[in-house]
Amino acid sequence: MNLHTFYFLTLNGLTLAALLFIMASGLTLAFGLMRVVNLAHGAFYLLGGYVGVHMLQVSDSLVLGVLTGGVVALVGGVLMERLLLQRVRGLDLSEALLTIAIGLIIADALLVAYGGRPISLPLPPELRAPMDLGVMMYPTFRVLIMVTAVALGIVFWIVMTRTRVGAAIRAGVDDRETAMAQGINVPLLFAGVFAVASFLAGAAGVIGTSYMSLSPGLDVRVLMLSLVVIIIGGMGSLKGAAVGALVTGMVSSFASGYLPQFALFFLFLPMSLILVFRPQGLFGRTT
Amino acid sequence: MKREAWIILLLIAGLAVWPLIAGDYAVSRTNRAMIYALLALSFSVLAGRLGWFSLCQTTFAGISGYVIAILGVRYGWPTGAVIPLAILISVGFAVVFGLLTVRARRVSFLMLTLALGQMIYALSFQWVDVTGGYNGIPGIRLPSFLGIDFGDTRVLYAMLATVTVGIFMAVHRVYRSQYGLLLLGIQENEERMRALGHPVHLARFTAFVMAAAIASVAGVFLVFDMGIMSPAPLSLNQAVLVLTAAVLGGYRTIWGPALGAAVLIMLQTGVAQYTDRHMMVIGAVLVLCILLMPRGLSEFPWKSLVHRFRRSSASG
Repeated sequence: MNLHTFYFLTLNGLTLAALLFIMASGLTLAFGLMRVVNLAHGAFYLLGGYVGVHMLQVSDSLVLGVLTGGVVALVGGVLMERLLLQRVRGLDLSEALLTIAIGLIIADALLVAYGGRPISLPLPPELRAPMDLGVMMYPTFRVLIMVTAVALGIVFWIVMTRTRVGAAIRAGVDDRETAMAQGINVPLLFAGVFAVASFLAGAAGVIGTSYMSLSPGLDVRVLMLSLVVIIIGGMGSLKGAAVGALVTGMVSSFASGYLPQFALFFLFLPMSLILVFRPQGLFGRTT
Repeated sequence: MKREAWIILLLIAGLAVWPLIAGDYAVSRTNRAMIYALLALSFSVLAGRLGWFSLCQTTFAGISGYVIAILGVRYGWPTGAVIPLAILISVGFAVVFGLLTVRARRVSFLMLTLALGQMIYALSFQWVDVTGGYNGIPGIRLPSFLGIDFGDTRVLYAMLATVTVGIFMAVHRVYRSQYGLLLLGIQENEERMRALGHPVHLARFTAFVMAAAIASVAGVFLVFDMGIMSPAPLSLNQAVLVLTAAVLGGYRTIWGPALGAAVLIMLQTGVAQYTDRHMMVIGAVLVLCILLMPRGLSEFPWKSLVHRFRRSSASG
């Protein structure tokens, strides 16, 4: 095996893993809290991506673009949670189906608004330039994505283990009824986690455009990858999301390097192994 | 019982008369509606009996479609051999998927079937050498045999109507059999069924394979009806379309999926004259169904609605 290709694919895999962690971490927490899986997550990614990249082109500011993408998705997520999901609270399947329908509507609306042509991220030259990583040169922005994901992981870890909110979320994930009986407002907590998850999906849509260009159908691919991440890692677990993202990122990077025709199909292998030997996922708990 | 027999006879008579009075386009739309009725039935077997909402039933239809396209058109195998093989291979995939999903419940099952279905979808457009990628494989047609052109819309209609009615009646019997009741029991209370000594996992697994077999038969008709096999039928959009048909019609009843598919195909045909945004319409229909009539058209409380209307008009 060519060593250079190996490093390149590894770094690509790490970049994808970083993106997947940013997307899947909120999704898995929201699921752990209220057993609600947001299947519009991919559509929020696409929504944040299109609007954020548009903003970036207009304002010429990357930070503003990423924030806009995140905020647009956050507004979408909060509206969906308040106006629709509230009405069928507790009916987990109805909630999931509603999010699918909303995702479909958003994706179709984006096709009308932005057309079908793929859009890539217009980056300032200093971020596009490669950076010397010791083993090889790699685009600075992708290194930045990895750093962001690690920082996000650390923030999540501190919030979850060191703050009252984090303790409340952990309690809610472990045992919703008891947590509520202790006076923790789990529905409110859930609304908060849901909003953060939507923000992260939208922000990831902007950053991720440097890795996969925005196009119709990307929403479903992103959703599928995020689901594979939390199925492998275990639903409701942040540690699981990190490990699941690493596995998923590496497998799809190496598969598209050596067998591009099976790039996404190859995810079938790790997922099946997990389902056969540990159906609750690596860090999931049986309920 | 007697009323039921009359309804079935009336329905069969209607299906027999329809191609004599309808135009070519209407008959071809009816073909499509029957195919989607079968797919919605395949979905409803799992959703109505087990509470298992699957997003990969269209995948099984797609697999049998691709087998026919690849072996029949690319390798020129005879149609008579390719069709049973297509159903067999599709069911083979269902066995693997069934083993992977049999322990999952409710939302996890939904997520799993979405992921599995989308993996096959990705394979269908990435494996360009074999599947033709997004362009697909064109030129799929049923041959003429004994002087009958099986590719003709009305001949296809006759075969499709026979198979559809047959499968619906068979599933109706299954619903009322002991096995059907066991499935309902598992949905109600899995632990109790297990405690009573019923093979819960086996029952669920067989239901999954049975549902996939129905979908693969629908896929055979779908590929000959379309004449081309492309990744589109395996997309999430199609899976949601089928799900919406079943939810709209009511997946708990036997005739709900057929009703839902008929209404949805009519709606789609009507909407297509004005706009390309039919996926938005499907999404809106799904949202409204879940919020306003979660049990679908076939179990909507029409009587109480009429009752209320009468009372309010009498008092007003």
